[in-house]
Amino acid sequence: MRQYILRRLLLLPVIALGVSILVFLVLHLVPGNPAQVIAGPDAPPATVAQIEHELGLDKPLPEQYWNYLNRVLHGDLGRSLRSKRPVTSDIRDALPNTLVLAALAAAITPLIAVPLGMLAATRQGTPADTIVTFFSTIGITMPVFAVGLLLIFFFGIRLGWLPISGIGDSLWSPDGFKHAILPGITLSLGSIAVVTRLSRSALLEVLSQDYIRTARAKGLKEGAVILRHGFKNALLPVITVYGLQIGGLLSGAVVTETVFAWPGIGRLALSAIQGRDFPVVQGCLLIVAAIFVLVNLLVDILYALVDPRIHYT
Amino acid sequence: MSRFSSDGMSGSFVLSRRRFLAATSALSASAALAACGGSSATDTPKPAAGATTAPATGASTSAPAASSAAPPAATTGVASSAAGGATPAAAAATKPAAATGKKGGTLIVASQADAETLDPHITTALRATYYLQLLHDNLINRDFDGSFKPNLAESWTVSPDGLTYTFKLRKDVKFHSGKAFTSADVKYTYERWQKTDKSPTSYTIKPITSIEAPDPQTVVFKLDKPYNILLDQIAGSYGVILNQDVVEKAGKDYGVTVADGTGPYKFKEWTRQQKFVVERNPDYAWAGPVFQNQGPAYLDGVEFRIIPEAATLVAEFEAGNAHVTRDLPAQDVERLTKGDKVTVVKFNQLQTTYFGLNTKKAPVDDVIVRRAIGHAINRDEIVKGAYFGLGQPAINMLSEQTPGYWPGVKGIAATFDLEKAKSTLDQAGWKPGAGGIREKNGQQLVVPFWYINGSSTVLMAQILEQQLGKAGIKLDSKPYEETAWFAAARSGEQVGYTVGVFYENADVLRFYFLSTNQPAPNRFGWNNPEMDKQLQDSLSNPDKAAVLKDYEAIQKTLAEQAPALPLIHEQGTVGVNKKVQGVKVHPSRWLYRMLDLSLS
Amino acid sequence: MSSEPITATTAGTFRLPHAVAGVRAPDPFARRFLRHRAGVVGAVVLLLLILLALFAPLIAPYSWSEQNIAIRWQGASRAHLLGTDELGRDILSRLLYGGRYSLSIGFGAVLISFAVGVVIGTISGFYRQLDGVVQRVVDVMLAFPPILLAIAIAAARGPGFFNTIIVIGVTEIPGFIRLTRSSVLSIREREFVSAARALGALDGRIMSRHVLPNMVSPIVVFASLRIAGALLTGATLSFLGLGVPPPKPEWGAMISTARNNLRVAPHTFFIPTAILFLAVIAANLLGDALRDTLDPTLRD
Repeated sequence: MRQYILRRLLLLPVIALGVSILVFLVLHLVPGNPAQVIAGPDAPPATVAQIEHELGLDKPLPEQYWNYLNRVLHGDLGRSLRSKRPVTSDIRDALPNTLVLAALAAAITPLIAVPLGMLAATRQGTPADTIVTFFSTIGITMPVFAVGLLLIFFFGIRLGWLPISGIGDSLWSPDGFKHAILPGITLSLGSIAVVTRLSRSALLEVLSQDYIRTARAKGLKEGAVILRHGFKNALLPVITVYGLQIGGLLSGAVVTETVFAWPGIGRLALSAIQGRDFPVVQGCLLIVAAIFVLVNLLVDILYALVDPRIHYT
Repeated sequence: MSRFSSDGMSGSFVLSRRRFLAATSALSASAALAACGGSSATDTPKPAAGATTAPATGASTSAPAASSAAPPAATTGVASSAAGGATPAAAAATKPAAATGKKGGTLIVASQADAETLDPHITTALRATYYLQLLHDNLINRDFDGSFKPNLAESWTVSPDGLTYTFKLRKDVKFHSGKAFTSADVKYTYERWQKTDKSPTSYTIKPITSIEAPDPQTVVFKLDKPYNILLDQIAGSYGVILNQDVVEKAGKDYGVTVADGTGPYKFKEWTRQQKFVVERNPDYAWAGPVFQNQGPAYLDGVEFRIIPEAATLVAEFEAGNAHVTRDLPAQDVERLTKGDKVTVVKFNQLQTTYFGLNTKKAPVDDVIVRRAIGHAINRDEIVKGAYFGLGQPAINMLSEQTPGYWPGVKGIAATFDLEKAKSTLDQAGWKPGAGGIREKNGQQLVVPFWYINGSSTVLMAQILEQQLGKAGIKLDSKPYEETAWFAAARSGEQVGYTVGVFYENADVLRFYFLSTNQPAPNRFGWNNPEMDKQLQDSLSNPDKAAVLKDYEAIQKTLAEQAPALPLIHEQGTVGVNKKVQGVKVHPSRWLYRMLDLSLS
Repeated sequence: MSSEPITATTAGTFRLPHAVAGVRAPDPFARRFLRHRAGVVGAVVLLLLILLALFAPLIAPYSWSEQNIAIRWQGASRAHLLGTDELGRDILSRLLYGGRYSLSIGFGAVLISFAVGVVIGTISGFYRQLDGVVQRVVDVMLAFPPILLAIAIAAARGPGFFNTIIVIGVTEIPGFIRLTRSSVLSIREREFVSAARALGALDGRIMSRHVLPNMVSPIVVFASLRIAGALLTGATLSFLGLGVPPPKPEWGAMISTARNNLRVAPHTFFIPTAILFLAVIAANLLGDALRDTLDPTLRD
């Protein structure tokens, strides 16, 4: 086990290097030249060429990559081509908003999903089970943007209950919380659905085990059986899947943030991609990849620690 | 691009909305060509006055149609006025002579895109001009009718040879930071503009050879040859006056985290892609005759909220969470007009969206094909189908209100006539072939068509595809994101394309058709030595009549040769919550310095 | 990374290997599948959607592209059963033809990732020398949230039908590589492979004769589940303006355009959304059913 974790950790720098190469290459794969973005759409070719030279874009690729890597390692992600602002400031502004939204979604998920899953499992085959299963299937199936627009349409416009864009006065205020509700629901719907399904099936599986039958035979009340034995044992796979969902939230954030004007890193990345603001694109991809890798690593390690049935090569 | 001159502005204040509109159209003189990008795909900026290219953000995916961004052409809409340019009377309310607004309140503006920087010398974004004009003043202002009025300069004179401009400055002006404003700041600002590395707009003041500040209240600009559009630049959105001390101290951070000006609002807070907030400058008292309220502003402050998704933006506006927006989706305008809490002010703007053709690329290198395309296009259907009625069908690059507009284009330009499109193509040897697409010498009549993705452009592309199809021309349309479009459309590979442009005068013609402006903005591959001469002459000839002659000749040639097929002059809209009083839309500055606005 | 077949899906589901629950009768596949009611429904719906798309020219009451602005945004009527869109086109006809694009994206992208992923995964699992490199590349690809990767590639390639298929195909490849590789790893240790090798069989033969047939089930199950994911990703790209551009009536593109009209003509938004939803849910149900019947070791 320790060896497995060590191996994973040792691989991190290798992955980081690969990520940095891929991120660097984005600049060369995407049409739309950074020098052109700086110079403006109507600049004469000579100006563009001059800026290219100043940016070092006329140097050989490996040299450019080396320079890029050097800067990144010194914590310099460059300045936005458009706002001329350090990319690190952009990310510093945006990242907390995304993390808060993701944390909110992560917090909502088990609170809703686990009770629903238990309800369905303990009432297997009843209408309650059918309804939960049905809605969790919908949750998995609905595209995030459609969920967002529907919530805006019904709760924001028709009913007028909740704000539908931005983060309000500030993130850490009652107003901020109100603003976070609809995007939070949108973002968490997918993971709620998955975790609900999983807790249902995990609990069902556990409940069919011998020791549950034994417990029941002992005359324990059904509630106690489920809580003390069933729930506890079904928890492992649920926790694991839940952990994996957290990484997935970053994916959902891109679309959710766009629909709800939530000023997070997903929206920052998307608008930078659309505006060909290459340093910002690179910075966002790097940071998101770093978080994604670390979260997944953490989950894998937890998983390995928790589930002895898995062996590692 | 740059703009033209200050000549030709006649103009007068108009009180009623109807007259006001009429007047603006008649006169609005020159001014900068403003180009702007953005949702509805407009051309790049640069000009002095309202120009700009809309920020890429968000705009490409959803983008409201008419909203595109950019200088509107004036209207007054009062809270109570009915929406729509059609309504007459109402508007009068806006200009009661001694009106004073109620003090207090923060005006919330819903905006689809944010600015990039507050440094006026390196931005070309329309959204930046909206911020800049709140924070700053110019030496002179452009009035709603297009004429120039005092602002920081009490008066100015131009020497008879057109080579010396002398400005007398006000004495009572202070920057937000407390420093007194003097001629040294003007000299510094304009020299910085000229010298700023990679400034996309510095060429617009290139003819200035020296700037002198003989005393604290006098500035003298010297030129080496007459430049008809210098005042346009000085009154333009990028010609605002900066505080030398603050700029020098901030260095690279100027416009990023630091900004100082003499304007009616002070910079308070800017969280990118989220909100831009300014607060009232309590000392402000030098607005000049363009505004009723000389200052300070009635509003406590203004907050721009950035909401990229159009559906979300319009919902926030309707819910009353934003007071004003210029980004209404065109399809919602009619519905909103009927509401009782909000209204929509429509206004004509100097704007043209056109179908550009690269005259160096087959098959549109042939003027017969270009004109046949023009005959195949039903512009009324485009206005109705893609812009939901918000606009005028266009056959001239200049809209009717533009000084220098030549009505003679009407008999010459290729207008909708499907039979004529077919017959001229038949005669030219393009015979119907497989799938109804015409062929000649084994070549199919296929015209690639590149557009910037936006809610109206996407509809327009589909409508054009069907219209040209009926004439046997296959339109092969391809959407781009804005930045990618601008990169692709200067490659020389472009054949057919569309983009819109905002301008304030006929100098937009020079911007587009001067041969040395290839590869962009002259994306037409247009190379006409005679027209080059006329265009250059229009810029420096002091004889106004001669300049008009130049413009007439240019418009005639363009209508005959059809390197660009104008499609629509888009109408602008401003959504206004009825709580807002004193709304008056400037033709190129939108709500300008927001001095007369108040919240009830 | 470990070799466990944990696979991420864009829909946000993760499948874990699990102990087998309960013992199943060794029914023939078909009978087992038919007993799975939801799966049958999914299969029927999906098949129906495919048939409707295939026979669109026979069924569609109108052309998918014929515009008539005079009748834009009409609600359901006898002439237009599902109403008309912003250019007055018949929504029903567009949905029928749109199925050709949307379903092709779903199936096409999975086909690409399936083909590429299985080949690379098999080789990776079989030749340990290559394995390290391949797995690091996969690690790097998996270091990005899939939708962000898709957006970046789509921005690089530009919008378009084939580009969309390729973009989604590429983002789906790592999952297939991982799954194939782990299957190969477990199979190659089994006795019949060692036996074949002892008999002097060449690698190629071992792979095609022994390894591949034994991993068909998990991969088919995975592929069927990924179809739903690919449909969703395709629609999301179209929503962001990076998918199939209009006038092509791809469902996601229809939804994307219609969201601007949500207030004036909600049906133009809701109807294509419902159809997309139907297709995704059918693909999911089918995948679940296949998983339950083909590969009882994969459950959620």
